[in-house]
Amino acid sequence: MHRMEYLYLVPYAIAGTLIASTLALAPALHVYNIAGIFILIALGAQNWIGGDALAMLLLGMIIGYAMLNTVSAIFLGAPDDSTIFIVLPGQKYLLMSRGYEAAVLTGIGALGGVAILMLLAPFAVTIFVTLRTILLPHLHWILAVITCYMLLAEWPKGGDHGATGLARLWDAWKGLGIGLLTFVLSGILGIVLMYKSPVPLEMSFQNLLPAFVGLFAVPWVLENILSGTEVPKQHISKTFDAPPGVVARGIFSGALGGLFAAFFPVVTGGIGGYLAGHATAQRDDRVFIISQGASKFLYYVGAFCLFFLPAARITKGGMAGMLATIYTPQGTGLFYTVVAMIAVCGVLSFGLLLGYSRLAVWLVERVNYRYISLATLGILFALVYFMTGWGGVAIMLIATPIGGLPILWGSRRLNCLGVILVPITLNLAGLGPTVAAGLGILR
Amino acid sequence: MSAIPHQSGAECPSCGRFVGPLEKCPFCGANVRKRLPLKYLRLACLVLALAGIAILLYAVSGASTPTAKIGNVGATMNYAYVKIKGTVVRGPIYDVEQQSLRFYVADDTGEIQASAFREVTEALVAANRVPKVGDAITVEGTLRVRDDFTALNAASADKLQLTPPTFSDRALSEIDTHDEFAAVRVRGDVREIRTPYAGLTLVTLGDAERELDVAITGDTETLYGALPAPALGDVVEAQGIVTNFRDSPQLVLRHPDDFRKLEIENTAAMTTEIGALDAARVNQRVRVAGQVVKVSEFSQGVRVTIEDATGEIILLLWRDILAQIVNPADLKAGAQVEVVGKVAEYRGAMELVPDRGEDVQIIPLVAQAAATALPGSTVEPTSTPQPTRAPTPVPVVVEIGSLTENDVEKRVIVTGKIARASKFSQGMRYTLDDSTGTILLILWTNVLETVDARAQMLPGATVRVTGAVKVFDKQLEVIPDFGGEVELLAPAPVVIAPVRPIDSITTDDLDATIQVEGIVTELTPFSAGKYATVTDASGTIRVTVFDNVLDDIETQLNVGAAVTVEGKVNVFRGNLEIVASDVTFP
Repeated sequence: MHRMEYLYLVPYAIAGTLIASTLALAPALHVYNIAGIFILIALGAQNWIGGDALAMLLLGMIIGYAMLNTVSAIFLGAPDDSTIFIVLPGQKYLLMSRGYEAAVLTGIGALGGVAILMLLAPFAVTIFVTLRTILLPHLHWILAVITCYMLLAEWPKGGDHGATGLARLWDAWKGLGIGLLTFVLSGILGIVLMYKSPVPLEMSFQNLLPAFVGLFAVPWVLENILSGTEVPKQHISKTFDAPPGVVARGIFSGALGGLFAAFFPVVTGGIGGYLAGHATAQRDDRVFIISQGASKFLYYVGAFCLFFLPAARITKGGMAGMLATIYTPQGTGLFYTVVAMIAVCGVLSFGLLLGYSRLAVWLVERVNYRYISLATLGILFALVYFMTGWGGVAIMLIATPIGGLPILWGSRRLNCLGVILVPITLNLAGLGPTVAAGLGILR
Repeated sequence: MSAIPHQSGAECPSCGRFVGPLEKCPFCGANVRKRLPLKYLRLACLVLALAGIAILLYAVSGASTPTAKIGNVGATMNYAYVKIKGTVVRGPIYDVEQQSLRFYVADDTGEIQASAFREVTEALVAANRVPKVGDAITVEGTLRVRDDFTALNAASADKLQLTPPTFSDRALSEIDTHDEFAAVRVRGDVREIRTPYAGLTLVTLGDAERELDVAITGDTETLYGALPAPALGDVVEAQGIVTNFRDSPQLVLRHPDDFRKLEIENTAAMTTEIGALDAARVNQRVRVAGQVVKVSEFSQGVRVTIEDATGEIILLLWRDILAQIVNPADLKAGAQVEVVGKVAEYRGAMELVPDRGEDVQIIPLVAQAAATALPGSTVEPTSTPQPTRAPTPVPVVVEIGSLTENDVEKRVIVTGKIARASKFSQGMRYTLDDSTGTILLILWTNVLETVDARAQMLPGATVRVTGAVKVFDKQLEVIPDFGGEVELLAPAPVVIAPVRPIDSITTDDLDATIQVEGIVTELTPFSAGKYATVTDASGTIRVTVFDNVLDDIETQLNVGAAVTVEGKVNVFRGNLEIVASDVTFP
């Protein structure tokens, strides 16, 4: 009987996968936002399904989302932080009528992520507890180094147009300058949210929601509305240009970034993918797309999985952070149930990816992109208002032009992550309140 | 693959040719007016981004940090930056290596742990502004809410204001549990100094009427230096905060300097003439020296009549006190005694009641003879103890090893150490061992309930039992008829198990007896007791509380209760747990 005691959790995980997989089709609707609603429901009706069942439902959701958010990123051009690198090659594939193939390649990468999590599970406690012990005292400077690398690794572009030297200098540096400005403005926004958030006190756990929606989701939706891109007819191929070597290379490089992001505090899937991409210097689009699939799956699911590690309880990522406020996982049995559910729901969501990608192909050929984007904008506004009130809406509106800068000026959108990197790095270094006071935020 | 159509505005409205991003057609010179110049959009975006942040900074610069009531902090307030106002009720807990501080703040709605990390801690220590128990505090920081634990991470030393308490002079006898968190200054003489475990020093102060423990934590000594070493008998003044420990008040020192020796005479230590002890001195603690005149035993101890040149008084020694006296056999008529105890009156006779064995010093006759060689001292014969009841048949004192089945139905008195204790459906079963043999002591539930010292009937305790010998399943048993027939002679040796952070417990600790302090976050009943999930700042562990422990604490063991759990580390279904032998509520 004891060996079977966790079986009742399986339907919850599968239900979560189905819910998130479907919601992932709605562009720019992040699983954390939906999970926030689930947390609120669970708080309002304590014990309505029990802590373990709620955890399993959220696990299923994050697996489904990690696998299927590719669909909206590729077909609807609405990425979150973890899929921003997929958009460019994804859209390239889309415009070559191969959007379906791009979606499947990210799915293959994610399946590789499932396999890696399975392999790591028996050693996870030893590996991650040891790593945490070693790294904990050094977080602040490591984060500072990552931030510096992100900023310094962007080189001046262009510089060969313009009548004067000054014009050419401006041409070369405007993108880089705007990137730095984006980082600084996002960082200031993050500091404000940390110390004087306009979000109601009772909804502080969603402090970052309006900022992320404003920085990442709304600008892309607006761009889609303004640009009115028309998608060519898509080809659903039965074979994929991904030999085993390409798949292995993609999964390997994705695993590096994904695992790093899953474990290391503050680092998100986007940063992890970025670092892994640079570290392994992959030039092949196929390798790149597969690696991003593996990276984002390992980031989302791996981080959540760490929350269930027996005797370690590493709370990394938005989902674990939210769940930790109302639930404490216990026991090795539950951890291995989580691992098993990752396998089951991972495979299930890959199947759904194939189906939903076909649905997306059908959708983008028949429904005007602008209408989808307008509906998305409405959903985003409603979500932000419902979760964070007018204070949150104000933050979203302030964040939107900051998130629009990289799109309009051609710099990296990753710079928007200053919203979390700046305040947390400053805090870890013990400088947060000093800087906040310098900005007039704290008196 | 179909060709990608040009976007609207990419073609000249006049000649229809492709013009791309140009605003004037290079072929026909027409203005392409429909296009929104990208540079304006870029600039607008830049201006909006800068203006938005500027407006936001301006708006929030005038806003004050919201004040949160501790009791209102919930899961959805995770990461909120708030101000908490209250009183420091525990702490500081200082980690030198990590340079971190923890302390607990309470307001009228609840209690929360506040933490300060390296920079904040260093600033607070350097400025001598470490929050201490009793301080009124206002602190700003970020809330960290977990399912089982809530904390406030202090943002900076500047955002932490302290107001120290004002101390009032109180007599030891005036302090009780209702004075929790009162700031008081007391005087007394040092009666005892002990260190229950590394990190806590307890100094028992006494005055004429009562005693009070003064506690100083290792963290306070680490921060401010060691407590000046007091000597027994020193008269001292101590100021601190009253806290309750196991339903008794104690005084917690905030600083070692709050404990200082007074250069005055120890009035409680001065020997009082017996003749001066009358009803007016009841409840006062006095020191008396005299000679034993008579020793008589009763069911709960012995009465010793002592006299000096001025009068006579009964020295009442309960069993537990008697068991603590080093040389009780020397307590015979003619022996000299020096006793510190509380004056009492019983049925018109004055009594002196010591609280501890060490308060009774016996100088035996032999020693007196050797020291003073007093001739002809009139030593009365030892009086024969009178049983309080008149049992039939008269119980006889026997060694356990001498009992056989031939003794069945005889009433005997056996003395032994409890080797094992276990519960059964009708009561408790103990194995008594007196080094000559073992016998089962059976206490039926109705008898057990009348045993005064039942809570101390633990393995290691020494008991004297009067009861009838029975045999069951070929095993000899002794079965008392009522609780008074079970006397605790010596409690089980107190082994203070170390208090451990939960996350430090590993499988290396299997079977070790440890203590953890934390909050009960979950309770689940099972057939033989309850599982309690206990959480401290470092982690969570399951505590198995069997019915024998649970019975006495069931009403107090609730979710949210602060507990100190002592027990053995065990592994159950692959998870570490503690099997509780004692659960207390500090």
